[in-house]
Amino acid sequence: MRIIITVGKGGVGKTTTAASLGLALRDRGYSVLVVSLDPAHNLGDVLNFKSRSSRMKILDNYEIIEVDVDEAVKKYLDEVSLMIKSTFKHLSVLNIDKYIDILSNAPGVEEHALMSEFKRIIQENDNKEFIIFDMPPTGLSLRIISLPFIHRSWLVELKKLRKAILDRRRMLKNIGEDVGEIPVDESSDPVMRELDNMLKECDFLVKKLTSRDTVCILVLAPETLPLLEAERALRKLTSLGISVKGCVVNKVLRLREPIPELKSKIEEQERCLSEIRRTFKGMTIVEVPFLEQEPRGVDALRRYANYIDSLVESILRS
Amino acid sequence: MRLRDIVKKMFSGISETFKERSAELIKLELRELENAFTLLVISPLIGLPGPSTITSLRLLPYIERELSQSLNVSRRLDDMLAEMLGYLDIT
Repeated sequence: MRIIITVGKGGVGKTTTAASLGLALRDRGYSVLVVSLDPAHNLGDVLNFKSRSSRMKILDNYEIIEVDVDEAVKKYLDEVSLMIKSTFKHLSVLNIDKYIDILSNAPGVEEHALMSEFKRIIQENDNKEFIIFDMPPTGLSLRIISLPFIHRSWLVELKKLRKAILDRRRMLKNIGEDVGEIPVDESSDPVMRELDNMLKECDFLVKKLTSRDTVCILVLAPETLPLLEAERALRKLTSLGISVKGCVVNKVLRLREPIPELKSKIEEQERCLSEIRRTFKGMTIVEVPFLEQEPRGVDALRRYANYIDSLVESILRS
Repeated sequence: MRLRDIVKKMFSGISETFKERSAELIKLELRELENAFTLLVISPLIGLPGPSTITSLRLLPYIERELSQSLNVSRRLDDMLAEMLGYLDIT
């Protein structure tokens, strides 16, 4: 199974790129699942698909999932709450366990819930040849993607500290000190067990994200701000060891007769395009012209896919 | 024979004292390591930078003893320097 992740500023065409990339791969005979993790997703709208279930089959070997972020947060918190409530069972006697529900307002929960969905979808769909993730705008995407890496480094340090604690406890026990009922080795320590469980979950995600089978595609418009965001995303993803395969420059204005009112716009575009060629040197760069109509529906997306054909080929070659 | 017993007793006494001192120091180190661990685990819940809230919540049920110990220590924070110096036998 291979994973493609589209990253970029809001409104640059990530969803359109993800959907048409999926179609191009499906038309080449691969089974494809396109997943929208964007809280404001419009994958179904782009495909002109009216059904509102979370998983939809568009064509043979071409399915989409629109993750309901609120539902994902709720599901994730339900699992955590259940775990906490089962440990602090006595709270339910006084009927104060309901106060644990306040956890839904804890900072960073949305990123955790989305990363948890990312993991679940990968694990449950390993029969697919390609899973394409249409991510939220850059800021949130990078927070979600870097979460397992940051989380992992914390867990590694906590494990080291816990190991030092267990070592001291064992030393005291060995010299005949009464340490009571507390765990003295890793196998009997529930904290170490929980740290190991969390570390395993992180390792799975870190391994998947840094695998050669996972590539990121940057989507941007030939404008200064999307370019700056794409550069930041490239730096961050590269520093995490995630492969960035190429970039899609969307909405490129090509006018037969330049309009005076658009002169400075065209100049900015040309400046950005040369900066893009310089910054993303060595990657596959594809340009998609500003289209008269928004590409919606399978046929329009297939036409859009023609513009990104060299990117599809480069992904298949890698 | 008596001299040998005296020397044996003396060394045994020294060894016992060293053992006690070492045990005290290991206990002190252990307590501080447990405090540091507890502080790191609960830091997102008390407004300090730390691992995620979720990590804290998943570990919290298992560190009840350490947490209560840390709370006791925090009540005596004003006296902590004196306590540490006492442990290290510095007067």
